[in-house]
Amino acid sequence: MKKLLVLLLITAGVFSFGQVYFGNIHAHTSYSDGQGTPEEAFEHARDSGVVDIQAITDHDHDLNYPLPDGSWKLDRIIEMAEKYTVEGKFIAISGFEWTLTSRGHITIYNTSEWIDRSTTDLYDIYQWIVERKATAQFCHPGKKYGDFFDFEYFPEVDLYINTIEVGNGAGANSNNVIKDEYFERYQRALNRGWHVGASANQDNHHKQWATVNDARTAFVIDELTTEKVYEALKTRNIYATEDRNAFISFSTEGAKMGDILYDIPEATLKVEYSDPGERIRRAYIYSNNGIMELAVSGDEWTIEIDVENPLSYNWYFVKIDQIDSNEIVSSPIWFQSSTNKYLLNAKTIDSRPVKGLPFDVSFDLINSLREDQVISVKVRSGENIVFSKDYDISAMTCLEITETFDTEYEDLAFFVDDELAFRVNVDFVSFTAHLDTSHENYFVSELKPLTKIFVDLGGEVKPVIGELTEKTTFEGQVLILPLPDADTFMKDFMAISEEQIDFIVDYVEKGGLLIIVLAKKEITHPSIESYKLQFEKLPWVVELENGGRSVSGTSTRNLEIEDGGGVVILSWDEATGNSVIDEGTMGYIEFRLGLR
Amino acid sequence: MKRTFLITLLVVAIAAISFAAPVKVTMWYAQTGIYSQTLLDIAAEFNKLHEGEIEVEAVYTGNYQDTMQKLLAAMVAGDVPALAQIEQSRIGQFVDGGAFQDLNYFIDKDPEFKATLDDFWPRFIQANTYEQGLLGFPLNCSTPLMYINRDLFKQAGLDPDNPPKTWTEVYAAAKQIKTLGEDIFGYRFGIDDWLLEAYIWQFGGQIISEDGREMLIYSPETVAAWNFFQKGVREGIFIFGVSGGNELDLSGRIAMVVRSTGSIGYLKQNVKYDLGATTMPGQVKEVVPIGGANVFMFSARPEAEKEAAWEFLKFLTSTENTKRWSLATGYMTSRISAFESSEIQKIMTDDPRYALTYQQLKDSAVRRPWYGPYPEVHAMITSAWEEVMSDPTKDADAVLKNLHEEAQYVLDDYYF
Repeated sequence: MKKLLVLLLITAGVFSFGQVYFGNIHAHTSYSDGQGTPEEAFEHARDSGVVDIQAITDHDHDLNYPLPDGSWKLDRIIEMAEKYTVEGKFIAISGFEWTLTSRGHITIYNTSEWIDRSTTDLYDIYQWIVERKATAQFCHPGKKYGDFFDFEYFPEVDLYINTIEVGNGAGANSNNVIKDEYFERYQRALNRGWHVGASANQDNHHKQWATVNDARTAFVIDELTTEKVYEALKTRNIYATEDRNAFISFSTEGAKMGDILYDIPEATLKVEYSDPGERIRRAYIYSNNGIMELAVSGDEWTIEIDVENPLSYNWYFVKIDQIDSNEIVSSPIWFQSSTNKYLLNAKTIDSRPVKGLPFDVSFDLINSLREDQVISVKVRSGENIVFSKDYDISAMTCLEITETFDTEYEDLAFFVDDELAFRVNVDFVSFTAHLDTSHENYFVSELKPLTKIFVDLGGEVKPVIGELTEKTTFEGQVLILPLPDADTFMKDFMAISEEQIDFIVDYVEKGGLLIIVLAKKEITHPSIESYKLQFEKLPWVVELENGGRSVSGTSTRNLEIEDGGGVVILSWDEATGNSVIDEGTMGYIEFRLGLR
Repeated sequence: MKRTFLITLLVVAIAAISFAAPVKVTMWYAQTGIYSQTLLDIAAEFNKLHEGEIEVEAVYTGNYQDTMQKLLAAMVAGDVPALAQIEQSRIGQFVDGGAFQDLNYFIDKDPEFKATLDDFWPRFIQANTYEQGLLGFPLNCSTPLMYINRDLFKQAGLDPDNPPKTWTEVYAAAKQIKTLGEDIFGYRFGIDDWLLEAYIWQFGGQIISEDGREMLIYSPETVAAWNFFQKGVREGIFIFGVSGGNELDLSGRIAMVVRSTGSIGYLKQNVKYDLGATTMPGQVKEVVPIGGANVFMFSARPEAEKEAAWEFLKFLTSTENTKRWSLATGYMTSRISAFESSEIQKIMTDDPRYALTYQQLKDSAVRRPWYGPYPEVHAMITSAWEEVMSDPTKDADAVLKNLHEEAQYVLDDYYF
């Protein structure tokens, strides 16, 4: 009787909360830079009781060296994977890691051959994957190893790279496996158009495969078979978890986690969570339309949320923070237009364009149909049409487009075939000021009082690092040129070149505002002659005196260039906030910037 | 009577022969991967040639630091191996303790070998010569090269075939490089110990006196060196990092970086930009450290063992094997004849980047500080460097002054 009761309870549990299996699908052995053999690895994982699925993904280039008996490492990994796989009990997977730091690392599963980074670059491996219809994963994305050219999107490749690691690490602390950077890159990949699910793997290099911490990838499948495991990877029915056994479910009518639905303007999302004894601290739904915190608590809950899908491309996934700081991240559900025409990733090239001047905007156009299509783009602000163009996009292609807009509207709505695709809010500034630091005049902190004035006037101040170029000079409306530091130990770099003098003069004559900050300390070094030359070449009779500490030949230090811009001469004290800049000068600056 | 005697003699002789086990020679080494593979292959070959007589066992004892620690412990326990691979700057305590065998003892008894002594690169022999004699042979030596990203050079309007020769020129080039983007840097550096020494020497400074007893590090020249690198970081044109340096080098965002000549093979295989190389820049001086490790014999082992170890030493450093080592690993050959071999010469012609280290060896390579207390002093130098470079508002002068005083205490402690 007792036995039956127990059986019923277990079954009830399974039916209420679904079935999930756990896998660790990124790991190494001594076949590359890890320890132990694939045989040991599969055995350890199988016997551990904490994973049902284990992959060995040794580094590509190491596979080039045969084993002592002359056989190829990948063949042996495949052999071991077959030996240790028992359908229904344990699934062992063979794979390798394509390792090209600067592009990124990609684990590729279940292929009978391999290829390495010395003969392939990113586009080559993408092609290799597509040709073999292989299952692949973006690994530990980020600055250190690479983020696949900022997740440049390829609709065809998207069919085969279906997962991305939001968690990777073999530290003992499970809380450190899912990392902010990977989590941020996950969203970036989604925003570039990739349909990828979230995984967490240990990337073991010191044995303890699957057991070094609790983080694993959860596979939401009802049967533990090789077929279902690969299907889960392909359809993204997985989630990343730092917790040993947390269960989550994320679904909507007609779709489970990892699926794509079409032409659904509104939906109800359902989230379920179960981890007896482990309460959550917070739960969220992330989407490309914002983040929603869920009003839930406890160690077992279900919630339904109604959402609007405002754009032609929407994604949602779940993130849960447990009380013990373990995190769980689900794969997304997508709601897309059935046109297979998408506009994503729209942004201004300059993060703060100057209001009133034309500015460049870029966006990605995606045609994920197996036929060429025309994508008709209209950019509106309210009723006004700011931009309109039709683009011919080939089948299964993503094009990165750059266009120049000339508008002062901030709220830009991008439409594709009259469906709202993307919104951009332009962060205008009134003007851009460049602060030169390339002539032994690195005074970023000392000159904060001066730069603050320009920021308060509605502008953006950008330090010039490296060299002052004509391009940099002309890109802004203001150029702040402090005279060099007499105390620098690199006196050879104090002088301003004649080329630079000429384009600065040109800049002022064409309407730019030049702010000269006189020397902090008297300059006796010969480089002062180059600054004197600068003064000579400007169309005025002002001269530089006292090693750059003062000027003569003018009663005012605000100089207007006929049919051009202007020059303001400030003393070191005025620019560093030690004495007040007079009203007349302030007025002149504002006048020149068109603010008066 | 005679018959019994003869039989006894025979029995004794047979016994002697059957109990005459090969002499066992243990060598401790400190590298993995292709380096250990090569050493193990050489040892296996030697063992075959001397089957029954000598058996060399090569044992991996961790990295350079770990190997040094284990050897120190073994010295105390009276349990040292016959041979060991020890990194250039970590031999002081063994030298001071008289632990190493003066190899001249064997050389003088071996006229055939003695005749080949001149075939070793002179600077390597110099670097292994101490008051106590010739204590080691070069095993895997290297010098640092400056690697450049030729693509970035071209994009910035610089000539990649005319790379900077001084640090001032590096700074100037780095300024140009910086115009290519916020995320691009002219020069990357970290806390590589031998390079910290190089920077100081190149600016005209010194670290420690010839007799190893006096710190010389705090000087206007050293301050100038440290200020130079700190300035580059402060102005955003150099990038400093304690870790992740290798990945930055691979990323294509760094225009210049100094690394071992041993990195040529690795970088060639892994970077997707046009890789150039040149000699390490100088400033006031052109000088580079000899890096890598040498092989030493411990004098405490029994005579028979040392004789056997000597045989292996000769084999290990023979023209054939030093050539083999160099081909496999990218480290420099220990012998001139190996350098002049057709295989090595072909590499020099096919890829002139490999020849740079030999040029530096001839012109400017010097022995790193090696003294007993030096590993500890070096850790302090590294720490101070990290302090100054991670916070560009720190006063390098004050940090160096303090470092000098603290390091002097360490020296005083060791010697008195």
